[in-house]
Amino acid sequence: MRTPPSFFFLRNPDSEPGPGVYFFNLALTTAAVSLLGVWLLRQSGLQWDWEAVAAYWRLFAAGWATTLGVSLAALAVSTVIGCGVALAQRSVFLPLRTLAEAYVELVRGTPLLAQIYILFYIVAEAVHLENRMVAGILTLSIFSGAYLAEVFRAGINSIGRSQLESAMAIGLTRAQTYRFVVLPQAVRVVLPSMTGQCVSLIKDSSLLSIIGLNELTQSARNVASYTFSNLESYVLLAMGYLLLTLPISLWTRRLEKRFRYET
Amino acid sequence: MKLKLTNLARSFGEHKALDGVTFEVENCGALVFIGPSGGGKSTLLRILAGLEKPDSGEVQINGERLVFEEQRLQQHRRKIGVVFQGFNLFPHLSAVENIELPLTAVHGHSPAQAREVSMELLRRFQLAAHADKKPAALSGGQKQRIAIARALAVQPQMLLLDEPTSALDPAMTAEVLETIELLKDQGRDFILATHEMGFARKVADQVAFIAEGKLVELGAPGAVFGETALGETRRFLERVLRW
Repeated sequence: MRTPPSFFFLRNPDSEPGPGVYFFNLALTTAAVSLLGVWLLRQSGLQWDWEAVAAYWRLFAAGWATTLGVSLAALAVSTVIGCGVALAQRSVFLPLRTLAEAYVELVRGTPLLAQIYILFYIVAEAVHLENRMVAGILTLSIFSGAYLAEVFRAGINSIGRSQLESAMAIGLTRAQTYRFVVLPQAVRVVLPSMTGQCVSLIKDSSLLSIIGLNELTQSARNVASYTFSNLESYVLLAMGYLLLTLPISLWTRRLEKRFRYET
Repeated sequence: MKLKLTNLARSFGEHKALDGVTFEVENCGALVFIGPSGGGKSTLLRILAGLEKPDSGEVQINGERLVFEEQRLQQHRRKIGVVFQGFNLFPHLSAVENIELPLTAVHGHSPAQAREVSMELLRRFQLAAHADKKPAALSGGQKQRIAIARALAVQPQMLLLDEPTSALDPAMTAEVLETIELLKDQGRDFILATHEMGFARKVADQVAFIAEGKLVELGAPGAVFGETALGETRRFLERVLRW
């Protein structure tokens, strides 16, 4: 017996909803969450004042652009660091290997907040790096690079021995093996976690406000203190980050789907 | 092709995979290795392929000594075609791209030349219709024949097949064996390790029985599979052919 198509149920966890049914449910949950939000706001008895905050929209826009710029730059630098460290962790030269391992463990084992203070007030000071933007980008890159190194390492390790042997048997050099065999296969494994790391990086950039970098969080704080509109500022702040992270998350979901079908 | 092995040995920990193998064949032809699993056939093939280094001993191919140094081995591997038990195709490349990769990356073919050579081989193996499929979309037999095509495309001095049908069902085994027979008919030299005794007997110019890391017997298939075979060979064949 065929069950009739349902508005609420999938046949099994892996089946695909039709676009109509999907958007119906999305609209339904959005409406429910909005209603809950409206009710909570009413109960809290808060007075909203968007006008005061709106007057400072240029500050928000500038902060948002800085966050975007810092994140993009840090993403590029941390990808390079991640690749280098992942390869170093596979090096046969032991000092390089232990150095890479120590870096990954130190960075992953300590809070970003502490790293920012240490790098900005000790390291940047020592090498006379005064540009907060550059210091911030480097700190974030060093932090994110350690996580990406682990992601890349897992990607490289996911390539089976038989693949490496096959590459060897057809006479590829080490570099060619990485280029033609390891990387194209590792990318598929790595892309979802890499985009996840990218979302984290954007949010983590908010901590750079503590060294006085005028990114989105710092701008929101400033506006809040000028206008005494704390809530409005932070709601805008949250939306500003969502505007950056949501497209990446959606894109990741699509990628995951594509790769699932290809293999 | 002339092949000479002298006292070749290779251990993995306590296990002596090869325990002093010595033989010389003037004209390799179709040389088939038979013998129990773990007896050293694969290790021997892997050493010949330049994928494994012996602990001691010497390999000479056409009078030239094989030097087991990475740089020299890389040169050696480029002259050898290897077919593995598990196919080992590259899953992110289509059938035809799998054959093209060694041609363009290692042997200096232009993409157009490589495509021509690869398609010609696929046509000969009746696989042209599958050229653009990824390995995941192909049957085991098709995958193995593409692996054979990839090994042949570079016109290797020597073709090594390591139990190419051990992972296949009987119909696919037949399909791959037919392809190997085709190579034999074209007079191509190859060394094959196999458990397909009937096929070994039919296709081999010479059969080597290898067990416990030693070469027990080397001779024409008629002799190794016949009444005059040594006791150890006969006992092995009696057991595997009984069923």
